[in-house]
Amino acid sequence: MSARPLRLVLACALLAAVGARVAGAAEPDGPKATEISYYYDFIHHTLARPIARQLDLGRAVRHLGGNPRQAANVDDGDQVRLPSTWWTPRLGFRPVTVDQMLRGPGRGTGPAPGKLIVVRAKTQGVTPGFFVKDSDGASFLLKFDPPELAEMATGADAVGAYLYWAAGYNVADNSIFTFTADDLDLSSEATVVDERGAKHPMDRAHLLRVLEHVPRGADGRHRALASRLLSGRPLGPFEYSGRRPDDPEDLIPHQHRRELRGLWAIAAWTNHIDVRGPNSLDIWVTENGRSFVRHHLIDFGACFGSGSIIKREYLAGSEYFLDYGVIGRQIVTLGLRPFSWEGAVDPELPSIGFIDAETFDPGDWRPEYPNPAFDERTERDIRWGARIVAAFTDEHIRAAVAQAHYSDPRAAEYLVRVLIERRDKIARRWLRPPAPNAGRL
Amino acid sequence: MVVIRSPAGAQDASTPGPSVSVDSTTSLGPTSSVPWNPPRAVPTHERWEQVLNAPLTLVSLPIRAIGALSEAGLLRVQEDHLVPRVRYGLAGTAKSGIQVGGAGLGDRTGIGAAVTYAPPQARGWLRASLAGSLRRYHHGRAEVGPRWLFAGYTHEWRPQEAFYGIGANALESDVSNYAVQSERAELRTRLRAGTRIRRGADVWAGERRSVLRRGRERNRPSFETPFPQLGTGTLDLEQTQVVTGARVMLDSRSGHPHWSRGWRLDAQVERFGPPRGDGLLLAGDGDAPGFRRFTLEGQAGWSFMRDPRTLRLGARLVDVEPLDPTRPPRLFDLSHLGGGAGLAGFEPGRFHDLDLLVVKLSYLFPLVEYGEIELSTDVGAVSGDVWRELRLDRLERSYSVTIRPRTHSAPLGALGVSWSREGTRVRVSLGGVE
Repeated sequence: MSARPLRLVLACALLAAVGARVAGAAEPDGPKATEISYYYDFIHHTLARPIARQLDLGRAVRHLGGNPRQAANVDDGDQVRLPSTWWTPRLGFRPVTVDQMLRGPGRGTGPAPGKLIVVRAKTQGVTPGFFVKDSDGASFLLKFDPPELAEMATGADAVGAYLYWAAGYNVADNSIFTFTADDLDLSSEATVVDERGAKHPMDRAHLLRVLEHVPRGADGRHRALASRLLSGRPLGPFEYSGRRPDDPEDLIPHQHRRELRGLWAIAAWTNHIDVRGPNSLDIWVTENGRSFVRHHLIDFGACFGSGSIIKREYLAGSEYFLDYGVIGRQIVTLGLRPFSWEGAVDPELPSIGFIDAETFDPGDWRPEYPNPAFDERTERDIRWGARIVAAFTDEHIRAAVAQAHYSDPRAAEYLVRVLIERRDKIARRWLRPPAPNAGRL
Repeated sequence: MVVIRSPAGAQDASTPGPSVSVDSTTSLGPTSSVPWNPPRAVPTHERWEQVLNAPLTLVSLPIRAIGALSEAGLLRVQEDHLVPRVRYGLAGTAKSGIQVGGAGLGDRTGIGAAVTYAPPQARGWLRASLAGSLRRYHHGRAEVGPRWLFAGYTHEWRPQEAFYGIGANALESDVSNYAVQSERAELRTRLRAGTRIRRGADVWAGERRSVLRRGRERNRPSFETPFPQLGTGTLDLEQTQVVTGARVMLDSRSGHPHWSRGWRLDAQVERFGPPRGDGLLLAGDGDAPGFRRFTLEGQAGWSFMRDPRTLRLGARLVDVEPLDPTRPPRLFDLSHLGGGAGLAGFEPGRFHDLDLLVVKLSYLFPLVEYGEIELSTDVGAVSGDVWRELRLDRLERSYSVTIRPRTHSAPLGALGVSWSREGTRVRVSLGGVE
């Protein structure tokens, strides 16, 4: 082959490669869908990453010099650079009325009246559920409470969606929905994955078997959390570290995003100890002629006092599952220093589970296991989140809690009181004038 | 663009905070505008941090590779629903009366497992178990009858039992090992009553056929090499004994995740006597040396705080009396200390003699939700006659630190280190922790 055709071939190849790259950037189908292993996520963030962090010399130098790495997407005023597909300025930055909050995540009405068609059973996660279509063709996920803790997980999921929306995050349209078995019809293509992991056509007997364990209200109707499926193509969860490499708009490592670092304050307020990658969802949406990835927080069923299928332990929020700092402290003190949660008083409200304000430490709240974005948070990030938390008025909180439709009025009163007190604790702790050179925690 | 400050509705505690620039026409809904991004991707670590971490990054490459493989494997486990499948399988076997657990064969028996079987159709009248380990220990038992009166049969093979000689002065350098094979058939009545203070009584009678054999451990001589007199007339001889015994027990212990308060008293007497003829159930080559064994055991615990910090004190006294002073019991019928039997900092089977006394003081406290730690010390000794020969200044001491994974209701196992004047031992066990 002579030199000229060779150059031509190489030029074509180069053009093809560049073209593919450009095409990739504007790929109408968007990035590839990914999945996170729950098991790996837990092991990695509990065992491997804490050790790696301790061996990170750069971090050690920064720590010694009091020069933490600040969020990468903030402006000179220390605020999130906008627009953002992760977060929208709402409470704390703009007036948001109670009505706006209640309309924010969606209509909040649940499925339209009429029969629901069950398309498949939910098998992921810890609570059972059904994917359904309503008479308008809208798709929902129905999630249920554990039999002995009626209203707990569904209530938390409903309230959480409103609060996190008002805080600026993208969430699903969640609402409490009641129904009877007669309201459900089975799609001819409905499937279920059984206990052995085998996929089967779903029959009425299976549906009724699931409903046997779903708590009913005084009117005999089953109660569910109806979560409207987000429109667009699901891409799977996002990680709280790194970037989605095939998303050209994802150029900032997630652990260095202010919206995710500052989320700590909102998670602490709501005791969302389950805030981790698998409880998020990226959606490839097309709006106003543009296709892009929008990042959502999902599944608030383990917020407040709910642990989804169990009520929260008293110690939830005060230590990681495997907390090396707590272990060290316990060994040094021979366990004689009491845990803060040991003074907790259980409200004995099954629909709430366990959450309190008295033992809540707004300076040291922890999720179930370390979250990489929270680990990188600086005081500036927390103050940013605390500003949002402090902007929730008592009315916002009352209105959001009312969406849980707790049958026991004491439950709603208790949760409102606790959220107000926890909010005030966060505000008092973090919204003092900033210290010069606000450092790493 | 307009500049917006914190809303008027913010709480008093909220400072106005810095301003944020927001397009006044923007709705409260999420944007579809092109998001702000830096001109190029932001590195996870800055250049100087990468240089500083380069050596460690290189060294950790194999670990990262393992991590990546684990991630892919665990995702496969999740997608294939392996955990629910295994759980389903275990639940299915449990329904059919089969359960799998730790072997519980004792110290230095290797990794093992046990299977128990209690068919639901038998309504509790049939129970069987089989345990085995990689060091070739095994133990099987079957019981027929209601729990208050049943016939039982047990067989056991313990091929590598450590033996250092008899007496508290036995030398560590004289280590050897023996094997013992035994079968036992018995009729037992077992009575239980009470809830706050649980009371129990057992009475049993039966026969035991046992045989002392050469130790199977490769790195240690068999016991008859350093102690030839102990093998004379007993090695490889199947000997039968009539066994009768009784036990009474009072137990008020309670609390979780470990028992944290209350006490327990346990007294047992057991007689190993000559058989009638060649043995009614288990025929042998002759009768073994007979003896009576008295065992007295007590425990008490006190705790404080909500997640219990617990002080425990326990003591065990064993007194073995030969029926014929000229025929001492065989090796495996002697009392012994070391390892889990007491004095954990010494090797299992380190001390053998007729009698023993061991006292254990321990302090347990929580580390995290699913873990606790036990600090303990054992003091004790073996002797020919615990009432006359035991001297406080000759008691051996051992110290232990044990990490115990736990659920909210019970400890799951133990990972510990124990030390004594003879060295340090690491202990791992699954189950069998109280």
